[in-house]
Amino acid sequence: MEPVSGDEYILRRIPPPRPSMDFITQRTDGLWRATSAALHRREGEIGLSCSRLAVTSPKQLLAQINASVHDGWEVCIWKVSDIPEGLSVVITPSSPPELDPGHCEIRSQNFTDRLRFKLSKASIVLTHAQVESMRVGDSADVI
Amino acid sequence: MPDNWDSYGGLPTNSLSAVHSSIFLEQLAKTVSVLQPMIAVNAKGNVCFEWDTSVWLMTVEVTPRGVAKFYYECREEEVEGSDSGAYSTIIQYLTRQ
Repeated sequence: MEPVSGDEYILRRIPPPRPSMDFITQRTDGLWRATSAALHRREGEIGLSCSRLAVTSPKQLLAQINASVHDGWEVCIWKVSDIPEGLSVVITPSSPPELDPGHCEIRSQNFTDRLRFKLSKASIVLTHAQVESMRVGDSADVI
Repeated sequence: MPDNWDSYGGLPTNSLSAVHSSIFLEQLAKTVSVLQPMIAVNAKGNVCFEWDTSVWLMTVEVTPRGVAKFYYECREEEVEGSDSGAYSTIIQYLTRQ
């Protein structure tokens, strides 16, 4: 598995809000992050699916499922070098591969609740304007 | 929650996890001064709770068997574990000063 470079950014979709469900929460710096519940894997799943900004833009990521920020969907982002120690990011094909050419996974030998929470703390939810304007290969330094 | 609610194949809410989560919340309600948690379902369909204060944080996942897997962090202290029954260990962490 080829690792994703530390200077790259990766993205993940966050579902729309539902009554009494919190998939995002505000950070102490005023930005928003994913809650840890939004970063669980399914039973038997090896890694947490994400996409490389070097290949897929936030808007494209939502378009893959015919969604947009106008439907309530959000996109969170990490710089790979900010991913907590104990987790790695590797390039993996999506199923089918053409669905997401930028597909990658966050993996760990032992994906503990501690690592999941630290991963959620390191995430940043993009503003809707950022989702609309961010392009493939952007450095995302605007965050 | 419908099937694939998160677009990554997330499972619908597991009814047994929901039932045990209600019991968990009842136990919390018996305890004074517990902050209201964030609540969400995870990709396995299990109900999850999260507290994030400026001092401490805690995540809890309630399984269909009623086991509450938790992670607690306060300054340098980091604890992972599981609890069931009256969920007294989790409540103990939540009510620590």
